[in-house]
Amino acid sequence: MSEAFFILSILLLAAASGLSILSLHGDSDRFHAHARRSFYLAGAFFLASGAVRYYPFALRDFVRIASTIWGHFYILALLLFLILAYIDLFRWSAHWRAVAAVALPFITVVCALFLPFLGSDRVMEVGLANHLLPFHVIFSFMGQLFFFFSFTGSLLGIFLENRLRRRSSLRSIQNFPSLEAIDAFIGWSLKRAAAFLAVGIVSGVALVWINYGRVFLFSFKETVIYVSLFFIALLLYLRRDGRLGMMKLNAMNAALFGAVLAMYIASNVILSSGFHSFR
Amino acid sequence: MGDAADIREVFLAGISHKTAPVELRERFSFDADRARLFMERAAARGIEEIVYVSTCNRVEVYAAAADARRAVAALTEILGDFSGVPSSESEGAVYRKYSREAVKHLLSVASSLDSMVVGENEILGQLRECFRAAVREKKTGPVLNKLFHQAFRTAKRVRTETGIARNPLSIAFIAVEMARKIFEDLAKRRALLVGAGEMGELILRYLTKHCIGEMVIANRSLGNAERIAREIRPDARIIPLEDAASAAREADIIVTSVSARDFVFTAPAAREIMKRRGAKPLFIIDIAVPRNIDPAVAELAGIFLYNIDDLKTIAEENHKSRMGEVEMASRLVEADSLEFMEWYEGLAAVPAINRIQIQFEEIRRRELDRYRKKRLKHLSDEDFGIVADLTNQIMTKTLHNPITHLKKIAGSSRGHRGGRSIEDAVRIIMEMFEK
Repeated sequence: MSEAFFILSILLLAAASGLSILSLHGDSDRFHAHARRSFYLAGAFFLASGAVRYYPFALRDFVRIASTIWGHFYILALLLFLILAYIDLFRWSAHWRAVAAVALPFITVVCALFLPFLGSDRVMEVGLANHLLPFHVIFSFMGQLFFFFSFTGSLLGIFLENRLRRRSSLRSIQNFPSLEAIDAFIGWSLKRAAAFLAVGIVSGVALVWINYGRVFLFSFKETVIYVSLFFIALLLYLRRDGRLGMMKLNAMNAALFGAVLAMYIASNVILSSGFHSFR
Repeated sequence: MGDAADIREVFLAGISHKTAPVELRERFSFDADRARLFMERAAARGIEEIVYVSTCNRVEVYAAAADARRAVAALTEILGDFSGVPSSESEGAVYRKYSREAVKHLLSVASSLDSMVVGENEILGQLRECFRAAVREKKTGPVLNKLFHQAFRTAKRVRTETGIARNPLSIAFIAVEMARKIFEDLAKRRALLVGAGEMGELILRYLTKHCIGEMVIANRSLGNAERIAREIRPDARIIPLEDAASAAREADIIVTSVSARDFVFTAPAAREIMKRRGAKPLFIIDIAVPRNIDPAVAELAGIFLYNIDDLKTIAEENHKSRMGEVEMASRLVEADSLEFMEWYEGLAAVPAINRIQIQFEEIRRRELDRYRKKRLKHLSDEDFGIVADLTNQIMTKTLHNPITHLKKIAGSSRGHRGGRSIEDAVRIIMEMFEK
């Protein structure tokens, strides 16, 4: 049942992605309404797939779930769903249409990539008996996901600025937020990314200290988090400095997130057999 | 409506920008008092319902009368009297449409598909105003009331379900829309108008309409700038043209339309401005010919420079995009005019349906009275009320199918205006229930 719900969720996400791209490009409010509906329905099926698999759930089960390859992914995707829903329901609701057109295809690809691991019983050997682990995982994920949303904003900004510079018709950018709104969204995402990653790193350091008496284990995962925080801090500094124009800042944001994504894939998938931490 | 033959037919007579030049159109355009007199005269000649529509691009008279052909002849005569245009002069320009063609035409006009600028918004308001004037004079009836409300609904559908009205065509409006794609809130922005030309003035009007935060006008003639400020934006700051360069440092939107041989802003000056602005974007609209802004300024990061040709190109693209929506809008108009015609054609069956209902009601009442006096006299009033309701329900349900069928016959027989089929159907139904 959990598998069926998950596959349904992916199908709906794919539909929502297509519709949200059409709604942005095709100037139709109907596509936008259908995209939202499909996204929330996909979210409901995604929650149902987790509920069926993990019921009854208690907080102490978190480490067990997070240490399975499927559970690890489930938490990541769940947070993605929640942040995108938050963007829609709260401050950025007017710009969800544009953000979703970039974010939804990404979420769909992430979910589809995990299809082969649906029934997998591979488990990460955590060995960290500490209550800080759930906080560390969630805060680090949140930090990376907000970094991802700043990346989506940058892609939108690059596209919009490019269209404005080419002096093309309003039709292709009719449903885009203004450049200033996109810039504000990027700033909002980066600040949250920095805050969550900082808390994630502090809890991670405490965790490693308690268990190993050290502050750094020289693992790829730790390196990726530190590099991410450095990149985000650099972007925030350059934004504040104001010497670089919006276009350059957006290009840099996109490139740095791309680098972090490449490092994540390299450290988790390529350097050993797929998701080597899970045995 | 007494009989099927009395059903009013919808028709229209009119001239528009497509058939007549403005010199002829303006002679058919009457002021409110004259339009009222015109409608009075038409009513006196037996035209039961009439709406006189006059806009800058068209003068049309929508009407409903039992004998449309005779009514059109009367209308043409009255129009000739009121306009002073002999029919020989206007004949080629005046079009006449009947029934479905007339309905479809009004729906197209309301949806701005027949306008000079397809998708423009003004026509709907003008139609509403003309319709209200006719309603005030009690010159409309069930047919035109229903038709005009249908036209307003269709126009709303066309605007919301297609992109026909989305992309602006006016240069000034495009300029402001572009500014809104760069700046989130114009109320927090400062605009600088350099040179108080006609187009610049129009852009200033649009910016003011969109609540631009601050406005500075730099002009050679301060008197002219003050006049514009008084008319459009009384709190605008007026400065001499020589101070434009320093004012540009503080502006977020610059509109230039000054007649000058040299560039008002050069690339080095713009680079200096951008150094101070940091990453904040600057939007420049150069509508002057020859241009006021060095084209090299467009290469600088953070500056969005549009000249008059850029804006015209966007207007043309927007126009093409609107035309692409016409087909979809026409389909909506077609569907809605069919829906109206279904209702309208069903009207032909109304007298026949009334006759059937009255006859069945008489039978029901008679039988109820007979039973009340004899076999149901033991029932209380309340119980008898239930029986009466029951007979009413049975009658309504029994008549539902024949009535629906009659409406269909009315629709199909209306095309050849015979009305015989309805009469035949009513006779057959009556004979079936008679002794």
